[in-house]
Amino acid sequence: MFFRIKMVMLALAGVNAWIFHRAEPSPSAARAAGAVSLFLWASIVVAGRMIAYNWFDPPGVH
Amino acid sequence: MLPFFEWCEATSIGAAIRESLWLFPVIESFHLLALALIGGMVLLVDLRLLGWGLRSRPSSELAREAEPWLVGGLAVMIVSGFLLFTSESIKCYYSPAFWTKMTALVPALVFTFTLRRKAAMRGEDALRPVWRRLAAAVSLSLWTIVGASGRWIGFSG
Repeated sequence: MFFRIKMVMLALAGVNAWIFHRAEPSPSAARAAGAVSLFLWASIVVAGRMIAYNWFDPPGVH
Repeated sequence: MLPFFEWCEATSIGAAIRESLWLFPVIESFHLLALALIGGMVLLVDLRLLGWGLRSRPSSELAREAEPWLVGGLAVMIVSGFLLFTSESIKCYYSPAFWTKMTALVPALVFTFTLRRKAAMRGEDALRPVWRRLAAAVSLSLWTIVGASGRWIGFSG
């Protein structure tokens, strides 16, 4: 469960960086990209740690 | 020192974290986010001192701007780390990884806020590159030991 969340966030972080580097962003777009990036990377760290916990997995997965 | 560890383990905070299903991972997440922040701030200045990155700005400027974030990260780190510690103090007492981490943490902190800060604040002309590089290498080595042995506490016992 957390592994999947982490992978989705990781892909979104890649998309965010790609959009940011495609063209010279306006100051407000750059701020938005920064906020999104911080949120995504923080989520990746937390979800990554939570992979060790199987609270939300259906029974029998582990 | 064992009585102090036993006392920590017996506190109501330690017991609450130990008995909760989610408190430990949540506090640990804050610990990791602060780790990422500290790692970023340390790398920023050390890579500059090594001459490998961010060369368009002087190291003194980077160090000055990174320091409040570094101190903030350390504050979160120490508070969350102490909370985690109270939930498993006895385990830590018998964990070589824990003692390695604490033994490396002291020189890492002292070095960062004394010699490394001086090395970064002095201009590139005032300090020979070899000393700048040495400061960065010592800093990176110490913080790597702290991080790696910290992770290792979780693998023991």
